[in-house]
Amino acid sequence: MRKILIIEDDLNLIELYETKFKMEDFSVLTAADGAEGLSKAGKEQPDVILLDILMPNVNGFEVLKELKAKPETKNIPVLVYTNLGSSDSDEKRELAFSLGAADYLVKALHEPEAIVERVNLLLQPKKSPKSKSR
Amino acid sequence: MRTPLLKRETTIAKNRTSTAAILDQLTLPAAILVGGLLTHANRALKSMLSKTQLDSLPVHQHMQQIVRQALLVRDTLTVTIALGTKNFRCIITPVKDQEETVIVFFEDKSLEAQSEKNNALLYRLSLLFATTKLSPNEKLQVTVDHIIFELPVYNCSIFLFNKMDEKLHSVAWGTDNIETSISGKSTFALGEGIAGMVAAELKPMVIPDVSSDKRFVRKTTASRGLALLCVPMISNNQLFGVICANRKKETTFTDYDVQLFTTIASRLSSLLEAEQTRAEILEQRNKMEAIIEHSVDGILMTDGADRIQIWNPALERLTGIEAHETIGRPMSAIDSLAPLTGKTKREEVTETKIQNRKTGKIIWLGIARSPIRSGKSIAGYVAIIRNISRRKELETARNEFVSTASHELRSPITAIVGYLSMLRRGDAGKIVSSQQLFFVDKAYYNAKRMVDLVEDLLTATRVESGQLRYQIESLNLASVIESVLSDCRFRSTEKKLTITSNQANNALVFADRNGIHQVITNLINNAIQYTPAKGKITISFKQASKEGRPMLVTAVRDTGVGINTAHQHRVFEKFARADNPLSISSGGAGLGLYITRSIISHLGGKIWFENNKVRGTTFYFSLPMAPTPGRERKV
Repeated sequence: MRKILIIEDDLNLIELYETKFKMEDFSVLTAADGAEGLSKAGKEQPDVILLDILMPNVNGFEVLKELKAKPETKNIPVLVYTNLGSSDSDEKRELAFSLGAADYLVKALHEPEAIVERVNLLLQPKKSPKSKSR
Repeated sequence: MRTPLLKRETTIAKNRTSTAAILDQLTLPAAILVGGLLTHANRALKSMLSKTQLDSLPVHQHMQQIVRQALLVRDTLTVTIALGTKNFRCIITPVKDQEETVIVFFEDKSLEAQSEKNNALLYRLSLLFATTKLSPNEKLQVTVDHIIFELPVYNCSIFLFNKMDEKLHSVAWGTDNIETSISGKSTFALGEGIAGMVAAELKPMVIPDVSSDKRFVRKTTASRGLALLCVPMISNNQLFGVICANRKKETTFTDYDVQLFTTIASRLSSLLEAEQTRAEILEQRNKMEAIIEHSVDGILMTDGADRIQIWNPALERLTGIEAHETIGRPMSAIDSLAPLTGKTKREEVTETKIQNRKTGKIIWLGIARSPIRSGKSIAGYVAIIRNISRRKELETARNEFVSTASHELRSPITAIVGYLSMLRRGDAGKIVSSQQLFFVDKAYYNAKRMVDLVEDLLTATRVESGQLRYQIESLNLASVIESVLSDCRFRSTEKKLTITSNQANNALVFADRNGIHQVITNLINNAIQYTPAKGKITISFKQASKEGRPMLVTAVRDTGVGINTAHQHRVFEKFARADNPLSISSGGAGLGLYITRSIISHLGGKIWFENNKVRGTTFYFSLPMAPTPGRERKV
């Protein structure tokens, strides 16, 4: 069974994505903040990580940096997703990719089904798409 | 034979008449003598000599001799004769083709001495005007004093014309003889009294006897028996005032005096004009200096060699750099104001962040800089520099607010759309009734509209702060339209609308995919919203060209309510919904067409619309065409 770690501070959204990924036969781990996410990623070794940007204490970019800095987590593909989409959204996307994100998307513009598709793409062995969606 | 002779005499007589007319124009006294008889004395001569003196002229012994000699040698001769108490130098000139005729010019020898004095006077006046540090009015008074001292006049006064009240005001006055001094009235309206008339008509006047002249208004016992000369002071068609002089009526003013005073008047008006110009320049300079000194905005000027010429106090406060450190130095020496260096042919508006050297504070400056054109070359630059830190703070705060607010709005919508989409897909089991499905669809599409609204809000903010960024690629419009139509299918089916999209052979354009998706979504959503049930929406393409560049024009035609004429000019404005419930908006915020136009113009296209003849509206937008791969581009 594929294992996904969702690092997300909004409980409603954790619930939504947890439900959806379970339906898609994922084993789902959740973390409500960056510190918890980092420790779970190291311990549980998920196949893929869904990472929010705007979170209390440690934001998603810092979490991403740490994930990519540690040997035990640096090879796990990370899909950065956010509902931030202000005037500097392009910079956020670029920053995410420069820090080693495998994909980037805006939550509101993607239904759970679409997120599952994007995650599946990351889990296919050879392909590493960097599709730039809104 | 009589006839030709008669003709000749007539011609001569005619010539004499015309000669006499010419002599009358001269200010120099002159007479015509024919066969030793006086046939004409010009006005100047008549005003100089008495009747008896005139009659004695032809019989004057000396005169007779010289006239005969001159006629004999047919050349000009000169003789000095005494008439009354005066000596005259007479210049006798035979007239060509007129037998026995001579013209005699008279020069008053006593005037020669006066003439020298007059020249000396004019010279001294020039020196006075040019060199002394007296005020203009003091100079006029000294002029009057000189005139009284040097010329045979009793009184002299100067009036200046005031443009504000249109009156003449006495500014300088002098007298040689207190008994004949005329005083009293010192102000004259135009046309009032002799001075006022001269000022109105701009011509010199001589009044031989003021006591018998009704126009003279300052009649006193002192004025009895006086002659008056009044000359206007004019320069470049502008009246500066008049100069007046009196003398005894027995020695009234001659043309010569008029000429002399006209010369003095012209010198005075040149002086006054120069004074006026100087005052105007000074006033202009004071105004300019006041603007530069007291402006709240920084003002900077550089010359053609990029050296700083003006650095005003406001700029000192903004930068913390003093004017004395910058004036005369090259602009490039001021590191913190880099946007102000470099050449440009047009006005430039820029923003830059600097650190004030004195306070250390970081501030934002807005700079509007424009070249000073001198013919074809640029003679420097002028820049207005303003502290825009407050505006920048507000901009940042607004952007942050929109960013946070949209994030907060999006989170619950994401959950709503997420669950509804799963419900529709049957993730929670099949929906039993068609009405249940209908309700879920309704909820789902309205939640999606909220997503679009937040998206519009964010895009509008990006448009406002100029942060829209595009990835231009060659893309097929038809495929974008297809994808938008499939997104809209629910709403269009619901209203039973027929949407047709004409096939285009080549719908390849240069554009940004996300941007153009938003444009088409907005236009089709609008069309759906404003077209009543069972209506038609048609999308078609045609080629056009703009400045030789091939463009693809897309038309979205609906059979809706049309756009109210009163709102047509506002359609592309922000929040164009206004008070009309049927006005334009994509989803409700009234931002749709505002964003649409911004995107299209950023992509190098144009957007416009027209109401259809029958019903509905057609929106058009153009975009640069991309060449079809593997084929020659059609131009």
